[in-house]
Amino acid sequence: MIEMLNVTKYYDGNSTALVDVNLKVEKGEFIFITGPSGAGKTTLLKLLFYAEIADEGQILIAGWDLYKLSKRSIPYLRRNIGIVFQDFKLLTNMTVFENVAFAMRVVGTPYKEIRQKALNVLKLAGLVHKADDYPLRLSGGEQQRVAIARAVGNEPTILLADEPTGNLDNRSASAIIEIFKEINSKGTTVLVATHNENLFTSSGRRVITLDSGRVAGEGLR
Amino acid sequence: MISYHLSEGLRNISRNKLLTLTAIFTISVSMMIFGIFLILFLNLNLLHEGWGERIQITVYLKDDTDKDGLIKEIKKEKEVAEVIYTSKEKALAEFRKELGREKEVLDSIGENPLPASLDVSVKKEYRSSEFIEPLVETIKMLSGVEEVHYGEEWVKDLTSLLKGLRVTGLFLGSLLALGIIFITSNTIRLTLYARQEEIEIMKFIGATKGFIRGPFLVEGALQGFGAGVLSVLLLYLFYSIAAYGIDFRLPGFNPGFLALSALIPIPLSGFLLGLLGSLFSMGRFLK
Ligand SMILES: Nc1ncnc2c1ncn2[C@@H]1O[C@H](COP(=O)(O)OP(=O)(O)OP(=O)(O)O)[C@@H](O)[C@H]1O
Ligand SMILES: [Mg+2]
Repeated sequence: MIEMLNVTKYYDGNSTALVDVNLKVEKGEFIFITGPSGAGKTTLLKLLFYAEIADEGQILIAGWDLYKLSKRSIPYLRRNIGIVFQDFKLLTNMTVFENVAFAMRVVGTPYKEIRQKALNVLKLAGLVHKADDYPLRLSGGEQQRVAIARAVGNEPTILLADEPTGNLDNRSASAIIEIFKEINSKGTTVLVATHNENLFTSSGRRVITLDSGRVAGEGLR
Repeated sequence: MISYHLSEGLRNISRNKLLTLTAIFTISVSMMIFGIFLILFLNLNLLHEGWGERIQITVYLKDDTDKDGLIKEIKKEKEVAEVIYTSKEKALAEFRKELGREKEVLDSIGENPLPASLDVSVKKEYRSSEFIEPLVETIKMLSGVEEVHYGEEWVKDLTSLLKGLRVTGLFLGSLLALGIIFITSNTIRLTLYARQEEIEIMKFIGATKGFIRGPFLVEGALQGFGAGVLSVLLLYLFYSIAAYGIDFRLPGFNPGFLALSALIPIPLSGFLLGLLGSLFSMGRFLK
């Protein structure tokens, strides 16, 4: 589903964020990417949804070479990728419901279907009672779940989650992992970037460890 | 989809009321300047035509000239509409009438000092300096002609003024059009900056450029259109005030306002320029 071949990424010339990264993720897999702060986790995810462009190497998504696609088709590629941003990126002038519905409207979901679909994902995220609240009035964990609800709302083929348990306590964190498992069980390929080892220890899942932009380790935990 | 762009565009406007109003006002002022220019041009044209009707070439004759022969000669010119003869005696009588109380001055001279003259009126289609000047030159050459007078100064001035205004208008018009594009694109850019994060999110969610652009295009176009309407209203207001004053100073001259065919293009061009302006600012933003 995802393939990175000898990918290197520099920022503004000097700082190297990723060096010669090779990564292959199968369809329906659920993997973790870990490593210390500044290791390049966010950068790796950004490359996958074309928010950043690699300086060297090749990236394939569902068999498509990202750098051979026309600019016009990028939005359509992104529609198959749900993203949970490290900083949420919720629209503060819209309610929780509107945030989720907006993402559906952007990709052209028929009006009639939006309401029911949005309510379904809010239910999954346990947020139905907060549907009409504005994001800034929610707790960090609740905002996090809004971001997740929005990301999974369009039933993406790939889900990229960047530090989705940020500063959450263990119980909230595992609740979020449960949501991802549920999505994954429906066939979505899931990539979670985190430095929270509790999320994956004894999960039996594949974990990629980055250090200073290089793949430092890979294995089941 | 169009209803989405429309309602989102209107929402942008209501979210940024002050910004939008400022832009509309600034744009309408520049459109108004152009409108004032058009009205000025129109009225100078009216003035030109009006005065043209009064263009008279006065030919002063040497004493003892064969006036009938001369009139026949002048009437041969294609530009000439009519020739009226004024004898020495009649000229003196008219002059006396004009002088009124001071006519003793004339009596003291004794002999009639005034020449006989011909008033030559010009056909409507030839009432401009390019035709009148050669005509005057021809008449000057005829025998028996002492001197020829016509309103040379202002005919020349007004004709060249109108020519100059036409060039200036073209220049001013394109300058103001650029200004309007610049203002809208700047306003839209400010809105864009304010909504940068929202746009970024839309992009990452998978919104196409067209989807993101739509509401901003609507916003720009409506801004330009609104400014156009406002400038027409302001123009009419100023025109009414000015026309009221002119009526007192130039009796008999009816100042004109722009015709509907000249008014309708103002909001329409505002619409288009607004659209262009927002398209420009979006272009760089959506890279
Ligand atoms: N936009 C940017 N411009 C310049 N340098 C950047 C930019 N984004 C990231 N970097 C640099 O690239 C390196 C990798 O950053 P990245 O955000 O991918 O790390 P991370 O693993 O996500 O860290 P964290 O766990 O703190 O989120 C860091 O050294 C960072 O300073
Ligand atoms: Mg990060």
